[in-house]
Amino acid sequence: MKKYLVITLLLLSLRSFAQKIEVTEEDYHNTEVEMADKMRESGKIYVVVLVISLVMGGILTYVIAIDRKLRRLEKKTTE
Amino acid sequence: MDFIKKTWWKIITVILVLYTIIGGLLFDVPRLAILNETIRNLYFHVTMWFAMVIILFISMIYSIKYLHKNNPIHDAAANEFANVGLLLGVLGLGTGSIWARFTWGAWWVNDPQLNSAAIAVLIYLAYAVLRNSIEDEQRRGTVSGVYNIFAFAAFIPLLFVLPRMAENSLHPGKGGNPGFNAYDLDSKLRLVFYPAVVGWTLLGVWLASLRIRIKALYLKTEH
Repeated sequence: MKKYLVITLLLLSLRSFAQKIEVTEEDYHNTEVEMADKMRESGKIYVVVLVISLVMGGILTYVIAIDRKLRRLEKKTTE
Repeated sequence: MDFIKKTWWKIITVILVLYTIIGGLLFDVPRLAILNETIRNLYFHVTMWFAMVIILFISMIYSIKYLHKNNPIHDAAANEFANVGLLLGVLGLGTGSIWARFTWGAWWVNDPQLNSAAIAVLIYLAYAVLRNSIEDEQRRGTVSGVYNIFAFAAFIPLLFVLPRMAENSLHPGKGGNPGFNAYDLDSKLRLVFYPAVVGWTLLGVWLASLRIRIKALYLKTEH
């Protein structure tokens, strides 16, 4: 119980430090600021998203494989 | 410690990490000068530090537990969580450096936030060195456990208090600079940011848990 209290207080204290400046709705439509709009229009951004997702997916699959192997070992040692 | 063997939170980890990448790259972000598209680094750089703080906190808890109960698996947990925290810290410094190059114009600037973050990472590097220099397991556990508690106590002011008291800092949210903490008010950034923090933290816990389980197997076969 105490542990969770400490964790929430810690997180709250992080928040209270925040100096706020507002992001307005205008910032979302401000076309004067250059963004990768062309990449989005042509749909090439999806290529990037797919590639990164595949790499991350591969790494995660590897982690899962290690996890499974460990589980088998753990079962073996408890027998 | 049974929690680390459960499957459900690992499924959540995979979903959140993939969501962070896809949402982080595709969702709407505010169009801000200088930052431009790099504002998306918020989901990958800032979250590293958040995850690091949480994981080092867990590490400290296990150090206290070890000093209290002398169970070697708690020592292993403290060590492995600190290792993952160190990894996240190095990634945080690296990603920050790249981001700084393209928004501030230099790989590293003499900024209170950057320097104290580097010192904080060095403190935990010293923890790893200290551990490896002691042969006796009992002594190693006690000494590094005590060090770990002090390290966390030094780490928090270095990262969150001193940079904010500094006169000037380029880093958002520090030295009187308006922060990114704007995301506090911006629901669209928050939509990815908080899941990202949870996702990266859980991934760190997962990686640490694998090595803790290996250590547990070691301990078991030794006896």
